[in-house]
Amino acid sequence: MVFSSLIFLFRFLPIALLLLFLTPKKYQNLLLFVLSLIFYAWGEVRYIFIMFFSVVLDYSVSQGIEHNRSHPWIPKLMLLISLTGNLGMLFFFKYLGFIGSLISLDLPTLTLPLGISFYTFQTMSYTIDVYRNKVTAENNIIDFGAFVCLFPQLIAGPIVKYTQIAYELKHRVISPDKFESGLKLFLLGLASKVLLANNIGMMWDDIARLPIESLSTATAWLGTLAFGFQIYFDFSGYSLMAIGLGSMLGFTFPQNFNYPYISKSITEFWNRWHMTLGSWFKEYVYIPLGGNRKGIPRQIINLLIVWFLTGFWHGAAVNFILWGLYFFVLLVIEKLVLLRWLNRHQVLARFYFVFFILIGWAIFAISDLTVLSQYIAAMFTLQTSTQWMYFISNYGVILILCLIFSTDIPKKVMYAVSFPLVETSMITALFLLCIAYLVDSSYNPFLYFRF
Amino acid sequence: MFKKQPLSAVIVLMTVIILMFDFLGPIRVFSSYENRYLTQRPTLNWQDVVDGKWMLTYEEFINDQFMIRDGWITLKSLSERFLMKQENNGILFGKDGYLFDKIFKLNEQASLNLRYLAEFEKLVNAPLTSMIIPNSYAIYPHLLPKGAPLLNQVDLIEKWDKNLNLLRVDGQLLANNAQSLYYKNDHHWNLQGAYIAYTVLCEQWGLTPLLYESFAIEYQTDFFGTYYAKAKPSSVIADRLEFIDPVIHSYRVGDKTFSSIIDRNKLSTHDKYGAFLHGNIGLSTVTVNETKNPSRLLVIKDSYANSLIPFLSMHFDEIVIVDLRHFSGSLSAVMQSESFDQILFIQNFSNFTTDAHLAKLRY
Repeated sequence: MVFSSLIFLFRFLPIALLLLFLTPKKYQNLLLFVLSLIFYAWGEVRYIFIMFFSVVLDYSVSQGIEHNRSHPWIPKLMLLISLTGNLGMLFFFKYLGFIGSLISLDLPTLTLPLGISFYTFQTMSYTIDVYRNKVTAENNIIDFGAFVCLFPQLIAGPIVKYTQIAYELKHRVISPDKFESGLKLFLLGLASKVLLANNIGMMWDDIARLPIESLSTATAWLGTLAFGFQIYFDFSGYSLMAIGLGSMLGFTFPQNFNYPYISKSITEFWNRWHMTLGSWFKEYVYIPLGGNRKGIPRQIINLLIVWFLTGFWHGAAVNFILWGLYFFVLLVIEKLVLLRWLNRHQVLARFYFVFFILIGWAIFAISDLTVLSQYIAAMFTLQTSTQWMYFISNYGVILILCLIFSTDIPKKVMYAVSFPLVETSMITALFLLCIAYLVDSSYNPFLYFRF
Repeated sequence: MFKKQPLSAVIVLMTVIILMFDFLGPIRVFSSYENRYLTQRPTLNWQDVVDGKWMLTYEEFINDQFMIRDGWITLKSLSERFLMKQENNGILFGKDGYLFDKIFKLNEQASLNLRYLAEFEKLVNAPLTSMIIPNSYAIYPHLLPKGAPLLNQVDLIEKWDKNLNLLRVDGQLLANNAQSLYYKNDHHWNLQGAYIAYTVLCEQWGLTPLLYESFAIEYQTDFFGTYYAKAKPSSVIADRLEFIDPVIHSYRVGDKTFSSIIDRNKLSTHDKYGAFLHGNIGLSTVTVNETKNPSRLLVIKDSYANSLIPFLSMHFDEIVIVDLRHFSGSLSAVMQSESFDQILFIQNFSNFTTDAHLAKLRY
């Protein structure tokens, strides 16, 4: 089930909230666990067993670590089992078909279990933290199950570490104020996905569908701009919806996006984009590898590993790896020389950032490498036509709205004129529009089926 | 609550109202606003749940039966207008009140269908004429939104003509595009459009076409077709549905026999186009004159032929009509059942390039 659907908004969510508010505290996590499983099973009943497997595996392994802290090798073995299990599962469902195709072995492609890349990372972080003795293992498998399957962030993040919500799992408080602020975030996230992302996504879809040889230079750039907006409003919208739902249920989830498009360098962008993924790789890959403590050459190798993995995490295809490596190169150049220059030339830095981020989105968006190279070629060879007129006149207003809402200006304006009545009516109006777009929906894609 | 949590109060209230309506309100069968049947509540069964089929249908059911559905659709089209969009739900707003299909890319089905048609050309046992009729946007390029990168249908038909034996009508249609040849709100051509194809066909078959004025043309006002049902434009110029009700001996569909090819009951409903040939039917026969040795025409068609058949009925004693989308029998059995003087294959571009049923040309 996805948040941006009538079934979620007018069946699942109201029923779930009603049940949760009526149920005594003692049974809250059990109910949350069951509800989350229903939420998950809605899209694919069979894959519910993977969730069970994941829960049981990391629960037992962590118990094993907890009870054998002083043993010389049992904790290590347990950790190894967890990593093998989680990564093995991820590999089997997500990467096996791809690896097979590389060595021209025709393996059946499996439908990717929804959100597997998110929840395997969450459960791994838990077991690693138990191993590192940063947290004691959870004794109650129901509470643990509720953490792993927690429906607000199950399928598209943010990636929540166990340590971040361990306390709230047992002692969360649902308050009217938290509900109100959570609802507000949820509805803003919904509007971001349904009104901005879907509408600008149609522009990218239009352009991606054009015969590649007829693509003019302007259209090619407009295309990646549209895709950049689509993925931002879609992804950050989902995160906002998750954070909002969490708050309505008494959880505090970490921020995931912080206006990435106002960045003035790629380095800054990655501090603002999908922040929970970045911090996961930093904490569980980059720092254990030695981070920046072992000299520049070693640091560069560590970065290479992290960015290869980051790219590959986004999908089992060569273009995602290229996308990760592309950022590796840019980040290393920035770290070594460019960043100092960029800091002194703020205006030029923005042009630099937009230029490189748009090329990046082309690499991300197009999986067929032949088409990708033709698309990039179209961006850099002068070809004129009247195509752009259609796209500007049809999507111009949406583009301007996307531009405005990708900055923090609307937020600042809202703070300046904070009348609760104005805010409530505006958000209600947005909600009404979202319903209209969902009822008459010809276009409402789910972008993370490859993650 | 209204004071301290105003948003929660409003949204909870709204949700309660919608839920109450959803559970207590009526379940509609047909939407005249959208001109389509609405999804009904699916019955629960284990197999469908495991396959996920039940969930999909249930979601469609909730969407289709949502409280004041038509109102939401109108709200969306209003919002699209506010965004200055030149389209809605894949239909472009052209000049002079014309609505157009938005086709940017050739469907993958096209190459298969081209192959089926080429094979069919070799298979037939009577003279075959094949026509692929462009859709309205290809005939009225000057009425399109500026720069719209639509698929060039005429170029493609020209290209396909090299391998297939097509009878071209696109040139004639383009040459006459100062006239109204297609409906503004519907995806079909009108009688004048079909008449142009009729004259081209007559030339091909060595017949003398009758004058347009010699036909008794009837009109039904307030025709809002398929494009309108999808696009819901702000201002709309209603079309006049044009039709000819030729004098025939009988029109046979299965075991039913009618005295006319026009179902006049449908003319006053929202599904006006359904009046032609009594709706979408797989196999039907028009007997124009009952004679010992009738001249026979076989038409393999989509609904574009509906406006053409009355003209053709002036030149044949019997017309057998096959619509592959609704036909479950064997086409070769139909071809062998009678001897045909001519076979006409006619499809519009959009349908020809997307219809998966053309595989039946081989059987």
